[in-house]
Amino acid sequence: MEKITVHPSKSGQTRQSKSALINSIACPSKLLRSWVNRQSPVLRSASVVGLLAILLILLFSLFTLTYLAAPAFAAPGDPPNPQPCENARETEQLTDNWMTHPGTSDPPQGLKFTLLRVGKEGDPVSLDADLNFSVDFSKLQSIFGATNSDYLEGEFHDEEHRKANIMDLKSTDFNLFHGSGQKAAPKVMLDKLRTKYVKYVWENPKLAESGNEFSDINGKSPKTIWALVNDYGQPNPPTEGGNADTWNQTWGKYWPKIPTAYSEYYEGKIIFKEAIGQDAIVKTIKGEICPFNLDRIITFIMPEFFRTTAVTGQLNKILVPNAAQSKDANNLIKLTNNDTGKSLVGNIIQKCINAFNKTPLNKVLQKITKTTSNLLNPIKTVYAQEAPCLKVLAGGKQGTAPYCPLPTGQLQPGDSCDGQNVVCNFKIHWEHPNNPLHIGTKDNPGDFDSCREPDPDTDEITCYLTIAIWPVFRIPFLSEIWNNSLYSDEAEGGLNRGIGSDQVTGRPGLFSFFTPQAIYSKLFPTNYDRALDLLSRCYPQWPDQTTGEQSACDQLNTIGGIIPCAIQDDIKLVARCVSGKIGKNLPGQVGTDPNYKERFGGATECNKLYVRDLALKPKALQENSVIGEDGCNLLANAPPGSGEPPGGGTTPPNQDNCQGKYELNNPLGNFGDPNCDFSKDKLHRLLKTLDPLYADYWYGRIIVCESGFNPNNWLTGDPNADWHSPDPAGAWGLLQMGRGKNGQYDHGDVVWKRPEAPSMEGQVYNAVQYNKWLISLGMPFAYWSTSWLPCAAATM
Amino acid sequence: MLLLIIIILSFKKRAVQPSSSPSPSPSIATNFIIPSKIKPEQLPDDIKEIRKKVIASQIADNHGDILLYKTDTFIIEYIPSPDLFMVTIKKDPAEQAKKQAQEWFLNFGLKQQDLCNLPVSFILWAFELRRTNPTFSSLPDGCTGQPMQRP
Repeated sequence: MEKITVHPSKSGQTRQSKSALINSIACPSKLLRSWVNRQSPVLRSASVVGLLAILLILLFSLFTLTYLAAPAFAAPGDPPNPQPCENARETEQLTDNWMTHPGTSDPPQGLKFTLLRVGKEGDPVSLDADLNFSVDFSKLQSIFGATNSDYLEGEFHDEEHRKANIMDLKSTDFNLFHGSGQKAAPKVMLDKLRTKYVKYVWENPKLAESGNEFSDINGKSPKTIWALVNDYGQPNPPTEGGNADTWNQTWGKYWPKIPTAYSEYYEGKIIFKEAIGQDAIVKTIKGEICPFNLDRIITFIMPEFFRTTAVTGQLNKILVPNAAQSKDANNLIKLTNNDTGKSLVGNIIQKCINAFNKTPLNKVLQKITKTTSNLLNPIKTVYAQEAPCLKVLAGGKQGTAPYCPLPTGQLQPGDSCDGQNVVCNFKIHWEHPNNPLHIGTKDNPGDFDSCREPDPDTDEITCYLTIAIWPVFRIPFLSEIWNNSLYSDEAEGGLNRGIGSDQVTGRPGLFSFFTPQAIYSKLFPTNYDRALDLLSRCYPQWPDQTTGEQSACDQLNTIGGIIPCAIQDDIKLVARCVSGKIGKNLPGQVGTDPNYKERFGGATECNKLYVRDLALKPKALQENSVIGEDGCNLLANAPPGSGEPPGGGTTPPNQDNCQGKYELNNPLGNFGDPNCDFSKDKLHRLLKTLDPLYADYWYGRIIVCESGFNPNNWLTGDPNADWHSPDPAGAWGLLQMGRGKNGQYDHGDVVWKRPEAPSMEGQVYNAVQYNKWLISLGMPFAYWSTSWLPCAAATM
Repeated sequence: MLLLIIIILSFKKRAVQPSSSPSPSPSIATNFIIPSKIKPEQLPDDIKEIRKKVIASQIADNHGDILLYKTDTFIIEYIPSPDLFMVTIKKDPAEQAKKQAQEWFLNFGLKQQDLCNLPVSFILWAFELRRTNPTFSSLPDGCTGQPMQRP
């Protein structure tokens, strides 16, 4: 073996510097300890002034950190002061909703246009255009129908619901009081959701609902969350270790009224996709190419986002199985009944995402999209101002839901809004990226679609170029969730088949209505109790069969009355027989009501994931979920050792060398490309999706240098080796990351991307996420720029 | 907070450029993708045509990577998304493989200088190769260029 000329320890030290640096950011105490021990190479090279400054910061932070951490605009515990539009949140999880001209795949009217230029052959000409694009932000709320969370939990945010007297509700009304999600969800989960709801609302007094009052279960003593916390402290239900007696006298009285998901406004984006030239337009519509984005991005506020659902987003993220979702870009999968069987978006996804037609769940998709595709129409028609399609959402809140005006700072020169920034006209400037172009000829139009014969008098040629620009509403998706009926529709398992779990039926397990102990016995009588109650109310003079309360008799009739039970004088004996006829369906198994198939769980962010994962996902899938420890810790109740790194860590390595492509000279085997589906082309596309700004930099500098595009690349962490990673766990994968030493995203020991979740998990995703954190610290690519010397030079 | 950032940045600088001792010259090859100085669509028409022919010589589509030529020591691929050609050298002798790969391109009628803007990048696949070929360049022979700069 040729001896290397770079001193090994130097390389190790440089790598070590990276690790120590990162650690120092994440855990200054380690840094300090290293300094005391004079062990850290970083500190050896750091200035004394810097160390003193750190000490000062640490001391300073003891007194100030509390104030720094708390946003000045939302001090926890302040009295309610709803200002939702001013405190909208930002999310990276956006679902693309393409606007097209109704009934076609073309852009909306006015956004497909043809430019002409006149000149002599070879003359340089520039192509640009100014377009107008109007949005009525008050109508944005109309794309939200009946709220997702209402399906999930009932209409918990409505005043009537909040003030209802639960104790007087009849069983059918009580059934309506809770949504399907609550019925399907374990009580312990609901308690956690409600506990977090209370905490969040209390900590965010500017939430729209912070002023909502909830009455107790008798419909009395209405209080805001803020008042409840002030009176009773933060809730600690018995399922989380609280005292049941105390609970029933305090929070327990209000608990069934507390929602499980808060309403919070989120930012959405309007972007513009361009296709230049007839050929590009046709190819875009056919899905042969991915159109590029214009620079202009308009940020707007999604009204009622947290508890409502963008219908198209639901289709993509809720109804569509994970394996078929367009995860690379969160685009919408949509089918229509046109000749090709696929819409514009569907085609684009085939090209851009290349996941749709590879799923074995195609038939399921078509079934689902047929029944729900009309829900998509409002997206196109709302903005095309064709009101009739709004009727689809007649059950929703359009016309009553709140909305926010355009946020300040979004207007650019040439834009205009009405006085309240609600109806806005945006000027979109388009120019050809290759300006100046050159006049072509009829036979060789060059940069243009076509050119005419030269004018016989002037010798000038007129050339034409058509441009199409699709506005794309990038809307936060509300709920990435599996629909029970859909999920049960096909067996799962295996590569590229669904989620890879063994589940073949609806989610099994024990379910409970949310049931505080205070009213448990009233709400959950045994079947015998229920039968006796029905018989006693229907036949109050038993054995005389004169009927009494008709509703009781109706319920009795739904199970066939007392037939075939023997008529006996003792009503208890009859009740014992009738009790055997009362249904045993668990809430999660109810499938006769078609509405249930349309019902979704989840809210957003932590709640969304929590509800989705715990209520509707099998455990195997839960363990794949990325939930922060500070949020909803899904793994809290999982068996020890079941926690996995977030970046695709549960896709197991194998020993497949992909037809000799890889030398599996690492401890795991084929960890990076176990499905043998890696390609440099897909990698570039993924980077363009995950981190468009830095995609080429990742590709052409970082990855190629770190690993030479080998997702199974590995560098030992053995300090005795000539070349080694400072992380004893080694350096892994395309980005040569570790095995969690520096946090959840410091994982290169995972699949390069999970095929069923291509944009969300894997080596590339981890690196991008890690770098975003570094960017937030003002240190982009620090992890790699302090890497081993050749690549450190590469990233300078 | 500002002070903290300043301190962090000071560490970053020191970590990247250790000042305690001079940095030795890297004795390991550095893989780069060198972006073309001109866009493919700006190539001369005859080169564009040859470029199309090169791509059309595809022998396999490996999940989007267009395999154009394969030997025991190297493979030549066209990567559609970044629109570039990539030669991945898998075994020594790397320089000889590089010359063979260039010859393959030149046989289509291209000149050596045309490879600079095609563009073609040469990548050493294995870590060991990078150690045994410390002066290996990702650029075709006779080409100059700067790696992708951070936006």
